Amino acid sequence: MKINPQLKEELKKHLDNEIQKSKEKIIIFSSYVMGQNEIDALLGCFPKLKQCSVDNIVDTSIIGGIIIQYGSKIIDLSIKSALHTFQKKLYEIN
Amino acid sequence: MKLIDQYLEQIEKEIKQSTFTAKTEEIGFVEELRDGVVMATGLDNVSFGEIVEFQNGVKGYVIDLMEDIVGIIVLGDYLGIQSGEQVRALGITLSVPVSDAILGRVVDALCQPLDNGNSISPEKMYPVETIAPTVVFRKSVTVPLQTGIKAIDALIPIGRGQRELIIGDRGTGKSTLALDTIINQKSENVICIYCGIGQKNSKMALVSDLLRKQGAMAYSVIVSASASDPVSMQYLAPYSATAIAEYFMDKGKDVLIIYDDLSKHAWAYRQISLILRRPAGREAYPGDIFYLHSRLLERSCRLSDSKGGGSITALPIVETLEGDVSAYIPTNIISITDGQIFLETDLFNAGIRPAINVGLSVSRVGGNAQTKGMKQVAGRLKLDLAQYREMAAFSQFESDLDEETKKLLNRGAKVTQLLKQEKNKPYTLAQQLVVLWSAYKGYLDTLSPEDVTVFEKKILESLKIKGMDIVKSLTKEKAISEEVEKKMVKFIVAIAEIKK
Repeated sequence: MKINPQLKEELKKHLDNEIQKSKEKIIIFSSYVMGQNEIDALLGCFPKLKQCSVDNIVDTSIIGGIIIQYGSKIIDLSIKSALHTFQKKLYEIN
Repeated sequence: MKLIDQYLEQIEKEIKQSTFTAKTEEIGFVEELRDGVVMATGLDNVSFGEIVEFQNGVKGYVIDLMEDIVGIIVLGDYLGIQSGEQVRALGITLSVPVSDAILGRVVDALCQPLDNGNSISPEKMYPVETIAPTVVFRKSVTVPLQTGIKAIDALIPIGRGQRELIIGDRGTGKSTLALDTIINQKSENVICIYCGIGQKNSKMALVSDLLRKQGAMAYSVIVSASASDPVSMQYLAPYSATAIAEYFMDKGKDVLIIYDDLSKHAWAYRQISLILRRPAGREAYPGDIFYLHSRLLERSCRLSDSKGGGSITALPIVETLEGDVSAYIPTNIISITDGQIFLETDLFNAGIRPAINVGLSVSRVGGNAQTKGMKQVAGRLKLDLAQYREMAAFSQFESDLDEETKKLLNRGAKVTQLLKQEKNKPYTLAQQLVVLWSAYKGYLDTLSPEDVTVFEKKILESLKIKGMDIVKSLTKEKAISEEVEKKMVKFIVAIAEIKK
């Protein structure tokens, strides 16, 4: 079976596009559903992220604060991680 | 024991120092978990050799970067990791904490203590993988490293900054040789690092016990990745041991490092490579198995004076099967090192211990580093032994031999007997010089082989009592001057007469 090289090329382009789109998407984890004005105010602090589409996911396990995820990067501003670093510090003291 | 208040005070201090900032972190997700190796997606901007952290706090080491997947070896218990779990890149390359406090400690491949002591407070962090010093920063090997073993110091001398392979079958005394060398560094101002790779924990306990008993722990570090540790640790152990050595070398110190043993290290790397599905080559070792050891051993060198003049002397150990030095890993390492000490089962069983095969063992750079005194006596000994080996082979069939041959055979047998040495009893330079000199001058020729050992013991005993001035001048001058030689003649003749 032969695959039309043009088809292959187009599929590749499409997949690349999809990946690009998912990279531009931001996911914000918070402990409650955030209002639009809150999200706007938040993104105001990160000029790089202004143009992206935003998803808000509620995750109560982070206790408070937010986690912003874009592409393979995260900005962790949750209480859970703050407690975690605190815990680590305590163990390191001897 | 600290009071709880002191602890609280310190905690308060630590927390006041830390500030809460928003920082961007690189993350990925565990896709697959194989034996000790994790394949993760995401982590788009991670670099080779970077440290990642799993959710349960276990660290990992990036060792494979593919188009959309990252191969990570887990530095610790991998059983707690689940697929789908988040992985955080820490943005640092693997390095170990080092300070002078590490002397006398038993640590694992990441410099975490294994001896129930406090964790090592880092003075500096040294990267586990570094590029070896370049040509301009190096100096040739000129200072001897005294092993305290007569056969080695006389015939296969090792210099500071050299890499000398110890090779032989199991149970031929390879580790013993290395440990004796550590014990002998007591007054030599050399830092010793013993790196156990894939060894039994019982053996590591014996090693640390022996070094402690001999008072050698004060200037030694033991890095252990035992057979039960994850292969990732066995793979990293020699590199972190070298990182510790580099810390001391950069301070201008001379360091002796022992890798026990590199064949197990090659196995560990083979396992990792096969799990990562890298193409397998000869004996299923990956293609970069040579580079694995060459980049490790290249880091041993003598630094030039502008860099502090420190050195790392490496004694890697390799185990052979049935004395086969032409196997894959042994030939690789033989070609990297500056010579080898070949130990043989037959010699060991014949009671010649250390079981060094003097014919197959060489030292390519150590000759320049040998002390003058040793050169004076060893040159002749080498020749004697070489002729003896040749003669001994075919004289077995001859019944009547000429006088000259008989003399040669007799001398060779006595020297072979003299080069035997009990374990954990290294000789000082002066002791070696006097004993070997007596053979060189032919004082042993009239003795029977059993008497040679007795005679040697006598020499050592009376050296302590009557020969203090000989020892003093030999240690100071490191050569046999005419004046000392006269004294030595008197000294040996006196002992020989008591014997009669």
